[in-house]
Amino acid sequence: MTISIAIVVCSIVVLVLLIRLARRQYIVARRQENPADQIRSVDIEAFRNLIDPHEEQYLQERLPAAEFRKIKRQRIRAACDYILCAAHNAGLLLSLAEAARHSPDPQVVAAATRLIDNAVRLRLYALQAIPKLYIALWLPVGRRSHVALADRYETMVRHVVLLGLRYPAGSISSAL
Amino acid sequence: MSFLLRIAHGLWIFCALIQATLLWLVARRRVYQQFPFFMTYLIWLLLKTAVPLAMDYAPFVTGDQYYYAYTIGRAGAAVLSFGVLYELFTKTLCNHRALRDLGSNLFRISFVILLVFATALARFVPAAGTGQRMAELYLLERTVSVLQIGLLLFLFVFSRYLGVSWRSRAFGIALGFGILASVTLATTAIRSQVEPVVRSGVSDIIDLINEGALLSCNLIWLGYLLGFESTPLPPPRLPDDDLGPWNQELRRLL
Repeated sequence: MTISIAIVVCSIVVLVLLIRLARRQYIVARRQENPADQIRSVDIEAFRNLIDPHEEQYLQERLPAAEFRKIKRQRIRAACDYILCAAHNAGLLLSLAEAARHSPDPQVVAAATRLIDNAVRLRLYALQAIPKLYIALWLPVGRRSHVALADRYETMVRHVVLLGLRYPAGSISSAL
Repeated sequence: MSFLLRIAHGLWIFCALIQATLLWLVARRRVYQQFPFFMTYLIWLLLKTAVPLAMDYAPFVTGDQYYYAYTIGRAGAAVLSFGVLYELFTKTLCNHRALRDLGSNLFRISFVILLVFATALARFVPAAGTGQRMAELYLLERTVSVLQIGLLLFLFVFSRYLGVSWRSRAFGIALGFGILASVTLATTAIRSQVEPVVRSGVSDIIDLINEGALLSCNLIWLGYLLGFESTPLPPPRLPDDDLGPWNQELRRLL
């Protein structure tokens, strides 16, 4: 009986969540904000430096083990912050590109589709990259996916610039 | 017939009318081209509502006949609902090239995981109550509801994380399903444990809640079908000076 009561409580929670989600969807559909104001700055070169295995090897050779582990943890936390910012920006660009996809100009539609594709891929990479970074604290795992994430971010910025040539993209490309 | 049961019957009849309207709208607005499983589900839903309703008022129909009609109706609706959920997964996620294969794979993986969980739940919290035959049926319904809610929540959370935009109709269908499944989960969880042999006041209240949930779900679908597909609005401001990044890109290309 206790589990049945728990099921009832869970279903009520789900119901409330769904109603809130519907309300939010309704509000978001009517809200007009410039995504450029919400863009978080990402220094992609600094991120590349953080995930560079040679840089890590260099630090490992020159620092005592305890200090290296401490620095490594800090670098991983910083890399995670960069990834979260990149994923956040990708989310904002998705909303811009979704609007651009309904443009009558086929070139705008093509640019928006490429941007959406890149932004979605970047968010997928981000989903995998953060747990991998934390695993890398203890296990020597490959950094290829993190490099791919940095490349993807740069490609995405390029697509925003291309889209901005033909579509009111606000000051997004400058903010990126 | 008690007062509550009379209201539940009224809602039942109203539901059948709304479902017929929904079906007409789906055919008229050619929504079946986009959501063929949803159209099939609606046809079945109308039959599932109208046939037991007619049987309930027919004096020659026995309790066993009603039970079989009710069971077949519920089983068919459960199977078709998974078709609609699959349609929602593919329509929402497969719009994007990066997610084309991921959509159907995610549906399969999450379905298997949820099936294991729901089966374990049915094994460890079996049906109780004196009305064993109906209690077992509600247990099956509870299992199906767990699967439906799990799939829908996964779809909502995943698409929200990826920032994938929902077409308003797909969102309306998913929302209606979610509300119906969560109410059904709560009521079947109670009924599978306390179902009596003879109807009681609790049965009447639960029937009323179920009919109310089905009606709300149908009205949500009707609302989203009556509205047009919304397109995202363009950003409000015209471009500021973007020359800096453009120069940077040109320099990179050169």
